[in-house]
Amino acid sequence: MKAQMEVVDANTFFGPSPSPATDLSLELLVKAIQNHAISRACTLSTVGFLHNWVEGNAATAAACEGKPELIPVATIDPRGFFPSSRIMEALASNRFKMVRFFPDQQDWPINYAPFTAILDQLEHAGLPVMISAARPGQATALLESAKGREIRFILTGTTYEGIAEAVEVMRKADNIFIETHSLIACGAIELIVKEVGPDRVIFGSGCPAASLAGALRQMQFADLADPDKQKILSDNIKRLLPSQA
Amino acid sequence: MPIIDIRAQIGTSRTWGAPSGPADLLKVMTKHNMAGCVVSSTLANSCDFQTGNRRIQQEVDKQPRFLGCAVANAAQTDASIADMHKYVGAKNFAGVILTSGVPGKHVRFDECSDILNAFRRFGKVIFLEAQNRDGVAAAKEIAERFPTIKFAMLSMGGADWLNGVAAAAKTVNLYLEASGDLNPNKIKHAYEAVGPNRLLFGSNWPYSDPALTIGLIEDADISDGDKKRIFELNAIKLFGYGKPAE
Repeated sequence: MKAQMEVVDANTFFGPSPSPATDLSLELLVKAIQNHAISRACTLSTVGFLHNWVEGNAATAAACEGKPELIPVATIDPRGFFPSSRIMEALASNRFKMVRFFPDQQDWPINYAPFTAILDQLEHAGLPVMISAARPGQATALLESAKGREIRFILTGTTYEGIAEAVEVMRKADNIFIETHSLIACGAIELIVKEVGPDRVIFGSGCPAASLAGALRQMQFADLADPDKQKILSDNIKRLLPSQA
Repeated sequence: MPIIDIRAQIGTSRTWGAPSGPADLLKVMTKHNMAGCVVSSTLANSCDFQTGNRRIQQEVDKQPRFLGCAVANAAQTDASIADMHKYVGAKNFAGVILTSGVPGKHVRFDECSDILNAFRRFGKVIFLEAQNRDGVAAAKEIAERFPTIKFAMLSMGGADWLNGVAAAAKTVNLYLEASGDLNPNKIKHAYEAVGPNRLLFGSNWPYSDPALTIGLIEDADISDGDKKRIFELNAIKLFGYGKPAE
């Protein structure tokens, strides 16, 4: 990998965790970003998806204030969304650059009326949507939600058992992308690039819950040309984020 | 830093489209400066341990950088013991992965004591899967009941690696293999609990890219000397693998 390729990590978070094994402090995240020369990192507070999305988004906005290396990501829990929620005002005022959803952790199906209603509101916001789709059938369900929309969707949580489904869904919808942190099987990233090209693959680490050093090394040693690595490491996510990100 | 990988599998697998034959493994080993690798058969781990063990023997006989690992199925005790006698005595076999015969289920002491009694004579290593708290507890009990056998807990207990580390801290014949959860605190925590001499690098290739676990260990807040132990020296001592690189 060419020395000093720019890296933008699309998948980080910070905040409390019920697991004693995991230090998800903001300090640890910022230190990891600095130690590994990450240019910028998309991030959100765990409070948003573990507890309450309004409180979590406030925590995210506060944590990112004054830290240009952090790109604030909002989350919305469809189970607590009502048409009167005025999310667009909240997203704009806090300068969020992406919206992220957690159907696996929150146990709701992707073909879910409140989720569709949120997407309708986000349609012209110009913000990418990241959504976990680790279980078989979830990416397929997202395809139905994604068709005909301007929104660009980023699948996260895909493992080797979900690659075929992810590839098929990405073939059918060019507004669906995939993030790399769960693609841990040897050759998985290369396989996706072979099947759908490098322009819709997005680097993410899951830091600080998962090793940023490991994720970077995986990219360093991937059997991909340097221009494709640069696309995955930063160019592709930068294309999706609002221009003022 | 040279590396010995104590956990990889060869053969067709569910890593669709990502090749996982012996030549593919050798290519990965070269990429990551791996001097040696302990290999078992994907088929043996999946559904046919006898055919898989036979295939692995053929592969390790051809390739001096491989050490073989037979698979024993606790649900088929006699056939497993027969296979152990066929393969494990050979110099190019490191030991046995002990499975329950049921996918996703760990093996218990009452299921495997006959196999372990037969295994004792070989003086080699037993590898145990433990992906949760119950699996860790079962592995600990097995290791305690057979104190003269060395056991390696694969993936340190998976997502429950805290319990895996705690178990190894109390059980001196229980080693920890580093693949699995990529929590950046894992290696330092294990090092502080059990010391550097019972930690072993394993990748679980092809199901996981070795680069991930290599990066995890390289980034750990421990000395280069201790990283070398984890990457290479502990495996050399445990498996009698050649000599350490200069």
